[in-house]
Amino acid sequence: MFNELSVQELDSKEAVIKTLENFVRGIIRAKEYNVTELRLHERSLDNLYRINLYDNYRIDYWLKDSGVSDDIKDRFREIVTSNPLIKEDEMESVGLYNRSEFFKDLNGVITKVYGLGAAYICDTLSVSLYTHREWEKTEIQISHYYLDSEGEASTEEVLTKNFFNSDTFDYHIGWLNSIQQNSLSASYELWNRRVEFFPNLIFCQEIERQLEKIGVSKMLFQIIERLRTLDNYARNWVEGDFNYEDVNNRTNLRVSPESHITLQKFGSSRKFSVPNRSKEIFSLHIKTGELRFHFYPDNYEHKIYIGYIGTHLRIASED
Amino acid sequence: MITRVAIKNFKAFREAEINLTSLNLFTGMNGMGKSTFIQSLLLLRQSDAHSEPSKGLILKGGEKGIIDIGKGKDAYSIHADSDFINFEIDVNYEPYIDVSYKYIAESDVLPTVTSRFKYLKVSDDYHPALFNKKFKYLKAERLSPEHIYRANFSEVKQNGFLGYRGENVPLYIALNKLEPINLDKVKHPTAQKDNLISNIDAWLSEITPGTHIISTYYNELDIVRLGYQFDNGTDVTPEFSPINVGFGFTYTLPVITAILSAEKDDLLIVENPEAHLHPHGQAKLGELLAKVASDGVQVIIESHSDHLFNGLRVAVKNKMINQDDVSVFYFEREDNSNEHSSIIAQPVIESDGRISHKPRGFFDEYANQLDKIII
Repeated sequence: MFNELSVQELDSKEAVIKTLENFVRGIIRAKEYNVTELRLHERSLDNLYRINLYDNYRIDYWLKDSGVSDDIKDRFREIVTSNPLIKEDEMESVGLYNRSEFFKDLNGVITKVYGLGAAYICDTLSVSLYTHREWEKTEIQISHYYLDSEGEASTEEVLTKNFFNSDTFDYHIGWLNSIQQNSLSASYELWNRRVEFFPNLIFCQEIERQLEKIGVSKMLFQIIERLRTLDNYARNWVEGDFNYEDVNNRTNLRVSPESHITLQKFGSSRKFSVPNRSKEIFSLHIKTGELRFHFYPDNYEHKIYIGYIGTHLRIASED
Repeated sequence: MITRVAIKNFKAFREAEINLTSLNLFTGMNGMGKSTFIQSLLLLRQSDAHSEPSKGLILKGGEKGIIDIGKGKDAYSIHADSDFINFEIDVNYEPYIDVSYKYIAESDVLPTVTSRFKYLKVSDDYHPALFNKKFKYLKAERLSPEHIYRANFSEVKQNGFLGYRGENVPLYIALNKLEPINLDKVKHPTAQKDNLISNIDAWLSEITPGTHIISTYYNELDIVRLGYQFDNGTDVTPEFSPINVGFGFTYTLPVITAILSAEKDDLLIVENPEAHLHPHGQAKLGELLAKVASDGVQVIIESHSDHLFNGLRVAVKNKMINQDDVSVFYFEREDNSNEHSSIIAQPVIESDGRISHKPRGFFDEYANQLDKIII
């Protein structure tokens, strides 16, 4: 997650050039450890291109500066334009985020921050431009203001993991390895012990390959939690047609169907094999962060099939 | 418009299906099934799969055919789970064809087992573009530069047939150069007139500024001569033969002509449209393909070009085409699989031109090589 607050003025053009080069080298280093997506919050873009990094020298001038290595500039362009922006609706499905705001006190000025907050809530790294001593820290303190489940307001000081160059990225390698390990074993266990963990759900064969594709995601643990809740619901569903609104009323799950237009245009990517039957369209789904799972309730046998666990599938934009 | 293609036991796939939109880009590693879907469509057309009595699945097209994929054993998937090869096609979101053929290893025609059709039309002779004159297909191997070209007069005059290698394009231009362009968005803003030749010149000028094409049909000799001139100050250069100008001009000419001569509801399938073009030309071709798709022509392309892909991204960002009308299919080898099997990832170009997700190997080689240089 890009720390937009780190786009600040430096004291020379040379310092700007050095800082941006360090940033690019830091991202390249991160890629070696499968940290491949730099995400910018949709509210970060204004900062990135409009703030002077030095006396009338902005990033868009740097990009045209013939004194800067073309390779570094091209790689920077590639880094900041490839991945989708973080949009509010993506973060809304990360339960706590839409009840949260984050602030950073820098030199006595308190500013609302997006990238640092998103990195904290998604338990991932933030990356900064080294424009202030604060951004050389590998953990940055921010204030997390939120409403708890009872609607009570609280504020707590929390730490967000941060890097600004390849050396500060290396500081996080041990932590990254451990979450990668945890995530891998969670997905391995999820598949191998699915019958034991979720006796009332049936996992389609495609899930095994999908879990390999997910790689590392903190959201996998939330997916497992939600599968447990659905499993519980499935145990008691013995008669009548499946009613997703009843699930939403009785549990903390938020099940939604795909729209008609999405199924018409992009239904093929939601077809999965129900064991011993033909393929079915798995429209109902539950979101959590960047992950979701799709399921298909069989109203005759009162069984729930899980057909897809992974990143979001294409929807029609007019939805 | 074809909105869905499903295949079973054919080439790279035991079972696969995709939804198509107006503009469809197939890309990915070699040998992972990128061509499988296009070949399905070509075989169904070659076999007149919409008509009865059925001719079976004709795998060898012969001299005038579209495609030759060999015998049954070449068409049959190594992962097959039955002795049938099946194709389903939906047109305008309704089932149109569902046909099964019996696998026979050593035969180049596979007999039809079952076929179901639903004819969506207004009159009995209406069929979607795949099965009529609105179908245009250009192979990866196209017309090479020559001093003169054969004139297939009746094919071009009566059917407007450009040839699957674009071999009829010089004659098509000679006969139709003053015809107006049918579609709006593909007209180049700098074209001096609304006709075919002015727009070909304007789009070729995106490759090399100030390019003019001359195509003349010699009735008595039944040949066509193609030539190029270039702006030279206030004058133009003498005419050059295709042999003596860049290969890319002549190689791209069929693609540009197919686009500029297209009509609404046509189906245009092009393999490697960007071949032999320099990067800027490739990106502009991406823009032109987006425009023709937005004008109501269904476009299916196969390409490895990140420049063309980026041209499409810019076209989406600049609203030359709606993001929902563009689909990208990335064919990749399945991880940790002992089988030689493929999966189809579908990264989406978002409305701001960003990519929803990048599977490993998906247009990432430029960055990979830069990383090696930077570090």
